[in-house]
Amino acid sequence: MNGQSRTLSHPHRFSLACFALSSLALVQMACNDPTKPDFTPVEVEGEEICEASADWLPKTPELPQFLPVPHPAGECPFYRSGWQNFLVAMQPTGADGHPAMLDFPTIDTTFTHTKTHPLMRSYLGDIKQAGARQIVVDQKGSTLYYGIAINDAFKDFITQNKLETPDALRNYPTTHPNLIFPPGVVEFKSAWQIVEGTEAEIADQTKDFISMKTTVPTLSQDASGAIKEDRDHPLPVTVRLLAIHVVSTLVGHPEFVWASFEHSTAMANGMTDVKATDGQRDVAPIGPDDLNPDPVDLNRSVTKPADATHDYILYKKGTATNVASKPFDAESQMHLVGQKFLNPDMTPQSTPIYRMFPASKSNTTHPDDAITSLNHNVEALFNQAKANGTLASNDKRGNYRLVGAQWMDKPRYYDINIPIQNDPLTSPMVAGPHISQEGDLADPVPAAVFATDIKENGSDSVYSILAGEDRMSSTAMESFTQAPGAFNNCFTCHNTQAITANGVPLLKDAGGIKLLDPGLLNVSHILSQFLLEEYEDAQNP
Amino acid sequence: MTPVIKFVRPLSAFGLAALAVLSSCEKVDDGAATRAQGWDGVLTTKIEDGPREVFTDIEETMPAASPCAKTAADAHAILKANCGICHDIGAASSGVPRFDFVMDDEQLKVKTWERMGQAAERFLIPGDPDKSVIYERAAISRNMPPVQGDPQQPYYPRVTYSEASVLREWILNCFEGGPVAAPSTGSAGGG
Repeated sequence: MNGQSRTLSHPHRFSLACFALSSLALVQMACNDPTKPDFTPVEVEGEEICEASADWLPKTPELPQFLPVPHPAGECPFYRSGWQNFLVAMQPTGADGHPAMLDFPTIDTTFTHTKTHPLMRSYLGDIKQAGARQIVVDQKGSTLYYGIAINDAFKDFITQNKLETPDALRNYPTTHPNLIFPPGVVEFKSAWQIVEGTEAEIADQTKDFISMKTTVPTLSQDASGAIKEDRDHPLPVTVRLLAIHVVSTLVGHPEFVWASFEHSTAMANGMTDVKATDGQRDVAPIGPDDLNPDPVDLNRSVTKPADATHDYILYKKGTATNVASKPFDAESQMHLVGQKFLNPDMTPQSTPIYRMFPASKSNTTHPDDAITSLNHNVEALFNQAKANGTLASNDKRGNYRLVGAQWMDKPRYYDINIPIQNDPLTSPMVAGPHISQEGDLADPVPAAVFATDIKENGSDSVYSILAGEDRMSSTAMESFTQAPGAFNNCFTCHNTQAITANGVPLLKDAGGIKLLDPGLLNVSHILSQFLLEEYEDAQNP
Repeated sequence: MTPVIKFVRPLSAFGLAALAVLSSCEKVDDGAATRAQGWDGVLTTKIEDGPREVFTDIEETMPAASPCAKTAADAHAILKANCGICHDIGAASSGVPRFDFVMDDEQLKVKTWERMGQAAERFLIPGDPDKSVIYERAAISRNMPPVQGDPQQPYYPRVTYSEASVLREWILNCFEGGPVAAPSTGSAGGG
């Protein structure tokens, strides 16, 4: 939540003490004439303090499971769950220090494909983004490669309910209509960038990143211009992690808590990074002037660059806003040369990306205090471990930051075939008597009142069924669907409605190929991704 | 609860301090110089020597002694709201034989639900929610509380999927000693 903390706890006393001391110190140091201090009374704004646990480092324990309290309580426990699950999955492991996630189950090791594939398929296996299946290309002409992994609890859940086969999955809405994901299930979607060059150059490019040697699919382009990925012909590469979604269930939250992380240069540079506007996130800049996009114009008339002076991994400095975060109109406009996308003059084709909603929120550009606080506290924890000598030299987890997270503030409304959005046309608050924020039975809210309150307060509205960052996208994974009205947030696609082969609800993809009927497990696209692969295999026997 | 070390984030403190400086000095610091050096790095990235304040109970994070204590409290609240209306009202409780112990964990663990011609089923098997009658009927079959067929009849709130998640975690992981062996004899109760 922003601004005022809804629960004041002991750390605030500490803040005030810090304030007093640091104020005095700064005045002493900075003033030419300290004899005439003019302390204009300043209203002290409450902060939401969100702690990092000391036992998170060096070896992060599994997340304890309990039901966090909804609004008006603070959101810290939800953000903490995302951080802790990230740290567990990215724990350096083995002699080479690869992330633990690399040993986690995948779709290939969890489900049973109909088609027989070679044992050695590429580990990373997707370059097309959910939504319109568009392709992001970095400043060097390489696409990003996406990986999907799940924890053992997720695989156990699939196995115990005998959902490993395509038929079992397709039929689950009938055979297991009330089956929900249990607490402790985690899935990961990660975005990796290829690094190339000599050994020394690769070492330089990966020194501050979580990286690994792995395999990617061979890309090809057919006569129509369509880009094909062939996982059965893997190519060995070194990749570095740009961003990752860490998606986990908690007690009482079978809809998952959707947390997203991205790389930061702060710790490696001896700086501090607590929010995107600090200029330490190097994947993509935020929009110009720290503004949310105009819902009518969608920034398409804004020619000012998102950043005129700095290059980013996915953004070339000076790129006008109105041409950034746009995909190629068609794959036929992309020119695959070898495994890169290049112009006829051999310069890289690229799709510059910027973050449209600076704080990933619809109603404000001020990042949530709990995220800011937690990111800072994790950073301090890493710095402490580094100073104490307890942090492994190959531990790069401190170079990432939580962008935001999303979950249902009113999970009682999690049900079959619902969109899980704050929309007056579908909100249970508007549709009829409902359970209020305080837990009382309340009259229906007029649609206009609902819409106004959501517009002003976003997911902090008392009428919101969502909590957290309601305009959160990963610049590396949802690069082109950030605009208002497109795919507002995770639940736009990850809900309990029928899903199509584009990874979106059938209602938003008329004419799309339906993979799954409405069901409670549809929130996770692990299931639909497996069925998509089955569909594609059937098209290419 | 895992002890946590609290690193205070002095953002507001720094911001307010900067405001104080701005209001008292001719030299204006817009923060750029500080940010260039690491923003509030002096205040936040320095790790001080010595012990830090340790909190063992974070009210906002988890207002209970342990994750399971919180889950058990939540589960009991759900049982009270959804089941207690008929099965926690003493002699007036529903069921043949009478099922009046939905709020009594010890009885739930050892007693069985018996129906003529069918095998007895235990109300609650620690570690096995799918075979526990209270979970199976409330969360899987979802036939308890009974569906409101007549609008004139009282409305019995059903367990939501979110609440089912709580009950599942409680039965699966929050009973000491894990699964409890089936009793050789047990009182019957009807749902």
